[in-house]
Amino acid sequence: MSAPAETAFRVADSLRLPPPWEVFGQRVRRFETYFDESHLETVRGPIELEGIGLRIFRPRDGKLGIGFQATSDLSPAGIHGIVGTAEQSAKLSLFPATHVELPSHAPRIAQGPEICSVSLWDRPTEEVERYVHALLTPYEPLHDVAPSFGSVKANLIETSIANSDGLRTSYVATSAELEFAVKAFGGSEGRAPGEYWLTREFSQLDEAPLAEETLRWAQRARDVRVAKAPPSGVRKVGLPPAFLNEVLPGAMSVRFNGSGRLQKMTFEEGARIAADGISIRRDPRTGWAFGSSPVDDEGWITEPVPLVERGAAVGLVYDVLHAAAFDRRSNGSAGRTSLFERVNWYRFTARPHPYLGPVSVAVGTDGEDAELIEGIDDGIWIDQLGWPNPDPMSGSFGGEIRIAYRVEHGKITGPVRGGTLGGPVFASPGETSLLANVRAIGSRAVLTGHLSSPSLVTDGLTIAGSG
Amino acid sequence: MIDLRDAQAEIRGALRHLETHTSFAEALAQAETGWQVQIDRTGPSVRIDPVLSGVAFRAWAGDHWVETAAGGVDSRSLKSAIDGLSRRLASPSSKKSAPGAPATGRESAIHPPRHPMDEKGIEEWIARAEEYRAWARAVPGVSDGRSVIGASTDSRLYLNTAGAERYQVVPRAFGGTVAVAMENGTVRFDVVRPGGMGGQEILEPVTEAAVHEASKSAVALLHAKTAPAGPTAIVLDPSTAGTLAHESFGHGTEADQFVRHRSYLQPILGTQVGPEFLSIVDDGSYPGGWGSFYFDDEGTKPKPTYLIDHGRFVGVLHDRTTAAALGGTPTGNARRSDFLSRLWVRMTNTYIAPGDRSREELIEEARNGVLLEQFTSGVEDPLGGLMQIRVLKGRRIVQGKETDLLGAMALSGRVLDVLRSVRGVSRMEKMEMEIGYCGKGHSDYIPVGSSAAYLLTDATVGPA
Repeated sequence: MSAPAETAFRVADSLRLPPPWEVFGQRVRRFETYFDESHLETVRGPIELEGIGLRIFRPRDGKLGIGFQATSDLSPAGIHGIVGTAEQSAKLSLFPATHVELPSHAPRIAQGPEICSVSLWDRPTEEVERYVHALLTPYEPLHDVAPSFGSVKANLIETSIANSDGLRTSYVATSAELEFAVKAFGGSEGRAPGEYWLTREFSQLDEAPLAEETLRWAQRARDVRVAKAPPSGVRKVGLPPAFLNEVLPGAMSVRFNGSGRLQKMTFEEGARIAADGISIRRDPRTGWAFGSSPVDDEGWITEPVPLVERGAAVGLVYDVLHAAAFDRRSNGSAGRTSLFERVNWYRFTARPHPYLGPVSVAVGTDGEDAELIEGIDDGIWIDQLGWPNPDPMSGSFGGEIRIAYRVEHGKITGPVRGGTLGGPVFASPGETSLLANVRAIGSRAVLTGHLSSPSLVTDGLTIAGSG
Repeated sequence: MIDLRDAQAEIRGALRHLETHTSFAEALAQAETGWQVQIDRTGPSVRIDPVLSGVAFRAWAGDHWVETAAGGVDSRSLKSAIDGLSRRLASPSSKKSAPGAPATGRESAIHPPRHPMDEKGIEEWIARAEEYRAWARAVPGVSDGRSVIGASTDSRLYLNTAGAERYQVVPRAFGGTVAVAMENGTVRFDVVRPGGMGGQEILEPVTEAAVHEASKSAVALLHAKTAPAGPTAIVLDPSTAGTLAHESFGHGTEADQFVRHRSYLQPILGTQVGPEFLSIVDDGSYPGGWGSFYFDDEGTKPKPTYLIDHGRFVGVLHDRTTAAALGGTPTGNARRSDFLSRLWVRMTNTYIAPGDRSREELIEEARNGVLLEQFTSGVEDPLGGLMQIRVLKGRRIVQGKETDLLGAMALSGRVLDVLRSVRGVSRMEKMEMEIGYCGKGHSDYIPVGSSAAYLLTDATVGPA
């Protein structure tokens, strides 16, 4: 591994601009492999992209004019062009703050949570090939299950941030995306094939869990083939971390940040919006969590930010602008991507905003998943919806049950599929919701994508089925 | 704005270099420019699209495709990309013939709208967005009207080693308002959101009356009832029925899913899957559609492709690779999100052809059920044959009459059951193509349109 590319530093050193301003630079190399059940479809890469986003702040009419422009043309003419565009857009945009406090100190090469896989960095092509091999090999001896299709994508990301207060900081990270589907077929039932289709985001390509996970996914595909319709009504629902990863960060993304506060969408501090045992925080220093980083996308050193403490709303995430609007300091929570972004492997084209990012839910004392299931008299244990579609404005979610398990008298009695599961994730004090109605909290946290969380059991959601 | 044709000779040279290693190679150069103005309670915000252009290269490696992308159209970027790709074409098998027939000949399509968005200055668009916002805020109970107006120009130059050359410039415009209502920590909203290929005419549906209607709806949703849970008769509004077409049949008819043996529809091609009056079409040439263009990213012209014709499943969507594998013809559905993304078989504008019933007749025939309105998203299940749609709101139908307002709902159903249960489609005076972004799985989002009239069928719904 070498030192990170100093893309932003080079551009910043050439700028002759009145302060304040910032430059966010990235150099990204991307490798993609696509395959179907029997062969390679497409191999892509290395795809190299380098660029910067320039943001300027110009006081005007008692507010701040914000100008932003990004480019992959790093020639003097290219930089000159975006400076002009940023100045022009600053004359047309207004933000309700009078000043910004940009960070001035951070290590030139920032260190922090583990977010860079050395093996992936040094041998990306080989590592992707090795991972694909480890993904497919366990299915070779199986006669009723086969890979349906998949893709593995790896990114080597060099990030650099510079600003007019003298900040020059950088770091390297790796990230990877997996999309994979397994299909089960054959059998005496004569049923149609069943497929288990999943996506995952990681900071590294770790083959170790695959031996166990691939066989679990095979069983999911078999279960899809024989699943029955779920029952209807408000029942207890078990929610494992992989499911919560698709719901919690998205549903909380607006109403727990400074932007939501400006829109008057946040909860009063201390409002009880979740069960007593629920504590949630932004945790950007979680090792190997997707989105963890030593500094945020404005260069502030990252730190944990409590959002919900023992059921009460206690905090919000801020970037420099939204912090300034409330006359406070950023808590290192600026991001240039969102959980709903169409592209997330490069970020220099986006302006920063308060970003929930990696989130952790505190563990409880109710044991492993098997013990949580024992506590469900009549309900389901959800594995996957088509897409939970978390709505950051209303804070609700809902989608089709692709695979779940019926739980009766503390035991799993069979797979269910079809129908819907949904409802509010959080709600006003006193109202029913996923978080307000949590009845059990697992004792072990599992990291999946953006979220580290134990499994939860709630009775605040509605199942719509025909079983 | 960069004119990609200025880089044509360089890109052609890069293809000639690749030709020494492969039987076929192609390049898609792309540059997109655009802007967006947004106004909400924090003030106006102007976003200018990044200066980002480059070239996707694809070459046949004997039994699979290899691709790369140059993050610029300058010589250095092109050379770096081509060198990397050439290393992946070292095997002698790369000289084997690529599947299917390549595009040939030269064509271009540059048709600026009669009234381009750039005819007006950004200041004027900010003033227009402020007007949208004022319309929303004039409705009692609305806390804000988050208004947005934007335009983009997507330029694409396609070249291949068979001599094809396609150049197109696709202008798109969009705008509207999200009316937000809040009460005691509860937030609800409704939207007006037209978009399409064209210029200022695209924004015509954003009227004071339309914004007032959405605003009143947002306020009413604060006290909407919770949707019932379970199987029921459903009437879908045009936006939701259009999404049904997209999610139900569209994804399952992308022929790469057939090649992967991953479509529940594959064994039933040619059979009757719905009533005689049901037809579903995908059409990338639809005038003004959000998902319209002049050439796909293999150089093929888009055209209407009937997926279901009078209830019979008759067609699938192809690129050259799937057409070769399945004995079909490219249908103009090979699309890349941008030069950094890979090529896939994708939908364009997918719609259900209008029927001969009225909305009122369908509500009455439903007797007891739910009207679903204003789609927010959908998800396919190509092999399993299920589908999910989420909507912002709806109405309970009791004894053939619309009654209580209902909050957000999710719909679930087995596609073939839902289609066989279609009992009517309404007339439509003018087809309004809804705007959406469609992912291939969970990535590679592209603009797509969808449309339909009101449609009556059965499915399972629940609160969402």
